[in-house]
Amino acid sequence: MTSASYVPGEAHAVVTADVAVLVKDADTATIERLWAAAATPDVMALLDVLGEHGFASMPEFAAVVRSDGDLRVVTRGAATVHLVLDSEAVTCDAAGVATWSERRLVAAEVAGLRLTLGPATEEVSLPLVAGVVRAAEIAVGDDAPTPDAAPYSVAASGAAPAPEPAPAPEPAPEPEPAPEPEPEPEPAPEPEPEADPEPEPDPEPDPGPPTVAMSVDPAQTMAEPGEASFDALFGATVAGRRPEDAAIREPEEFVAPEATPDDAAGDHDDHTMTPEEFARLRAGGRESTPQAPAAPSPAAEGPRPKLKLSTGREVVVDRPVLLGRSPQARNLSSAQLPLLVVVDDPYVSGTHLEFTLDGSGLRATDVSTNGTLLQLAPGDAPAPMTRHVSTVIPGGAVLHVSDSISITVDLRGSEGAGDG
Amino acid sequence: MSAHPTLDSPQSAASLPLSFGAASHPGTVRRVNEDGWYAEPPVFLVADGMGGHRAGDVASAIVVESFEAMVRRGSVDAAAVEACIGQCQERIQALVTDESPAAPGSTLVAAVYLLEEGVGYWLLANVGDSRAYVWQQDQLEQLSHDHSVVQELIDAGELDPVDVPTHPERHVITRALGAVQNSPADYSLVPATAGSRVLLCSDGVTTELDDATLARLLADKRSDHETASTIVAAAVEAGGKDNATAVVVTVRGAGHTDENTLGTAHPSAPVTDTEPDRRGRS
Repeated sequence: MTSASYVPGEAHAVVTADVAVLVKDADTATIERLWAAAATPDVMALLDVLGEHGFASMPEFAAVVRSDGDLRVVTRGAATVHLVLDSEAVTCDAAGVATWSERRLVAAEVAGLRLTLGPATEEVSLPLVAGVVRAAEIAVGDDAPTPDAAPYSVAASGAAPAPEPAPAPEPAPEPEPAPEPEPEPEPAPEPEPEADPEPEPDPEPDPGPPTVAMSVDPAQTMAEPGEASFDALFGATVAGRRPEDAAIREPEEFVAPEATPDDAAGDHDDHTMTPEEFARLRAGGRESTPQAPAAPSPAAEGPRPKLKLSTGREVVVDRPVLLGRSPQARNLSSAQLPLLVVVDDPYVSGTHLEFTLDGSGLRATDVSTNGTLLQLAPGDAPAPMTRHVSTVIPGGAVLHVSDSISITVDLRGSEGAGDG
Repeated sequence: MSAHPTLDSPQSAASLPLSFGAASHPGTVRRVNEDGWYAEPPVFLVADGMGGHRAGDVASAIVVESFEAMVRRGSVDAAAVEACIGQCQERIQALVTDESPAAPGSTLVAAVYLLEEGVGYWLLANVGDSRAYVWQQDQLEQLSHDHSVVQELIDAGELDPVDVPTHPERHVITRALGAVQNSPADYSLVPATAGSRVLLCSDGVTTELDDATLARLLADKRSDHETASTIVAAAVEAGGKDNATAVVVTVRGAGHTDENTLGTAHPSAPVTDTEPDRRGRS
């Protein structure tokens, strides 16, 4: 994210050119995968990492992803995102939401935003171009809002030229012990800059210890941001940018924000159960049904297979997929709920093919009337699939569901961007 | 779960090819109507509260309120529905106090209209023994599968469906929001074909009226509101031993004469005398 800064805290901040994530209680491995996923502006890829152990153990997080002119804001738990949208202060949070809340905004209308999660460990703001740091807040854009801020006057969306405050380098507070970031493969550094509470603007930009940027290659975990990245800090066009904001903010602006009540009228109070209530409920010996909520996370780790339809549509297989003219699914648990892929072809059955993931990889089952031809590799002769028999499908295989519609299987599909 | 079909409402809701109507009656035996319903495209539901004096009507009202809040928040998809159901569960369980340690409960049967590649779909969610039916091409099909003791016995081959009306445990349900802690919803995704009708109803309807009667009432080409009212009235007339509630939604389409507009996205007449027109317990 352009022109970002952070306030040290306990959560992990993962920041790249188009992605900012603040996540609580994540282990090093998760942070590494998050960092790798953040290389592309793909919300689904981030959610794949954050939700890899299932909904229940998903950490609290805030994520902001910019792609194709859209800005997607996703929050879970206590994480909040304050932003200035069309000169109005807006708060995105997940109050009362069991999974996560997601909003899509027009990036050009957002003048600045601030992600907050957890307590700050220091009342300072430090610059950050890209990388992983321990933080309580990430501010992006020069109009990053504070909850109690007066209405902002923001230049017309997208029309604000980026001022070039050449002589105003991002002043960095003087970190007391200056640990040199070493390029040793320690993925989750905990920079603890002991900054002066009254930070003295330092004319020399010192991108040093607090901003431990990581290179895009996840294997090479640490790198110092070069001068060039700091140029980018001031070069990019951000709607509503104001030169005076290029200076460091006063610490009191960074007091953990009170949650601004959402203006969603009719939203009721959240009844969250206290532990005592919960214990009393359990002690009450309520009967529970034997049906455990089936919540198997998709078996496959790593990249998800992608189905490339001859119609141009691409589908990432991260849950069962039903393909057909009018596929349907009956009385399943949420974890079993399939993705439906509708193809418009009279020779394709209502439900024609079922795709599932298991330990052996991608499986397809032909449940059609007219049958499906399977071509295992380019050049091979297509052979009819046995109906109602689940078959492991290798990468590169092509399934011909009709004369005009075929599906090419890419087993490393989700490494790129997919539409799901 | 944004990969699931999504419909952003309410911006796009007004243009949905849906008309609907709803009706509810406490019946001839009970004084209180613990049934609730909600109809605001793309979301329709019936919630049957239970718990007698222990606020069964509060439980069903929580379900209605939670879904109403979800619709107002804007983005309606499978993940939002699942989150909303989890929230209903928590909020109803939170009604437990020292004086009344048994939480009230509520069934839920919800139909949510979603678009997948431009094709309309119903996402159905079910907890308990309220039911979803689809009527299309003169056929009535039950889409939901009851979470009840008698249904489990039928599934196990230990009970003949014809013996259900006399079975002592015919009103015992195995899943309920609130009252039964571990009550995951069952979900279905079925195409919403033009001309088809969806009926959501509480067990006060289905214990009094058999499938053939429901099919006949849905086949009558009356407005959704009239159809829902007729179904509820028939259930009350047939015995009315329990609260009876019905929500009827018709998928409009090309070639379908639109003679009935009573229940379109902005109903002009309230479906009950005393309640707002999109939700209620009359």
